[in-house]
Amino acid sequence: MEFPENLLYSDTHEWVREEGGQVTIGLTDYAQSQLKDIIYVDLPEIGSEFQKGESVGVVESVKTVADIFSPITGKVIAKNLSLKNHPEFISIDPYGKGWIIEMSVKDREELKGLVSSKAYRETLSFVQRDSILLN
Amino acid sequence: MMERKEKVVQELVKGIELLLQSHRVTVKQGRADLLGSHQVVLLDGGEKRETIETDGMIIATGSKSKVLPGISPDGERIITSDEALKVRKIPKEIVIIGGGYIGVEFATFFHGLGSKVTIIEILENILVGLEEELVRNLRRFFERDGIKVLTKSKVEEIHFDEKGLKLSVSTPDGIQTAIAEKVLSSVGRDPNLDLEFQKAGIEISSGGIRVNHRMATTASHIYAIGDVVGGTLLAHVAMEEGVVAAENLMGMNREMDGGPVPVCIFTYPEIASVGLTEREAKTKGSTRIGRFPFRSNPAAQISGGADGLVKVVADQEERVLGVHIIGHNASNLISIASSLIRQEMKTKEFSRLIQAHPTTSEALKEACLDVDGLAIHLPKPLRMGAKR
Repeated sequence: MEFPENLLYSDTHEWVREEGGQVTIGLTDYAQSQLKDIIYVDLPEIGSEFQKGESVGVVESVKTVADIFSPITGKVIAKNLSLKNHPEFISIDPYGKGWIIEMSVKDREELKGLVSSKAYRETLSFVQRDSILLN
Repeated sequence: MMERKEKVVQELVKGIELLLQSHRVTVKQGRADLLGSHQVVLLDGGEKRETIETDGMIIATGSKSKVLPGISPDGERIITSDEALKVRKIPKEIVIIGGGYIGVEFATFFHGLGSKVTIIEILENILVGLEEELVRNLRRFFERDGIKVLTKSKVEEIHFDEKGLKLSVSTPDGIQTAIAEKVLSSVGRDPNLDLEFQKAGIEISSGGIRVNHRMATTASHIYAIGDVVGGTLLAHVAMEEGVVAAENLMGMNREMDGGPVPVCIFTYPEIASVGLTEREAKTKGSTRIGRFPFRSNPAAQISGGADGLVKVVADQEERVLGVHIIGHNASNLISIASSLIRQEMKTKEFSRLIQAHPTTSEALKEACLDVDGLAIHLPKPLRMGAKR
């Protein structure tokens, strides 16, 4: 399971890539592996604003329906329209073609509340201490 | 199909006639109007006039389809829901103007019969006011099944020719042309207010006849119920209003219950909703959400209708505030949900109740369990302490 070093991670299993005042957001490799086959992604409208921790959308897999939480406070400036016909991109390529939305960042301080790849891995080993999922 | 429909309707009407007979209610048919606060005139269409003296009255004149300027129904090519229920030939294409309850129900109806269906809605979404997650799901199923939905769109012009209708529709992406054999106009309903109310001292407001919680009009011995008083235009609301009005008229004292009113939309799959939406609940405080997809519910799978989900909106104390369902059997399942809200039951209390297996009630129970991340037939929840 992969957690790129150049990304930040939320405790609700979103990854965040920061580039000049805006962020790209997706679900982590761990999240997609837990959800299993993703069949539908409900994306927010461009221009809608979210507080950190609010649900920006819903991802549906063959077995469950789960919220996607906003890791920061900000406004949606782009969404990955290809997920409409190819929700499986999240499973196949969570950090690339499976990106979900781009948001403008309202308060850069909030990014400090996100954790590094290493710290995220550690929270996972806690969550999954009785599991063999992490290798 | 239409014959069966007629037969069912006739049987139901016949049943009501028998009930009225058994209670010794005299039924007089004709066009009625108000002559005074204790007088009604009955016209039979000809010369005959009959004046009826009365101690009390209940007005239940209902509503009629709204008409858009420039799109007046001719009953043949441009129709309303009245004619849509009598269509003898399946139209090849049908354009439905208005994406409210009636519009979406007829969309699934005609799609099921094989028509190519397009819904045109002027607002930003269809079914505005309904829990948004249900609407997003319905639109997703519509799209999958080939029902086209154009929002923020308006019919600018209808061109008639021998072959059919050609509509010019302004959309956010510019003008589009739609071809249709029939156009169904379902842009809302207006109360039927063509009585001489002033003669009886009855006041009218913008929405309909003004009534209080006892369903009494401004003339205290005259009551009004149903679509003609505006508010929620639903048959089950009208029926309860009728009971309240009748009881008050007979000297009892009852007000309309302020409790939750379930809304059912008979699309495929069905929609049913009661209580606060997630958005409404959030304005009152922080919420907790539970969901359960019908795909994981055996009863739904057995029925062949595993689309959709149950969504429970609760407050921080886990009291159920709203339940929103899209999927198999939604309209029956919603009655349990109304009781939960009315009883101010907590999700934990309900989820301890044993539900019969296999039924869709299990899905409601699981959605309640999911509020705490404890649903049995869902994978281990992903979230650890996520804020909601």
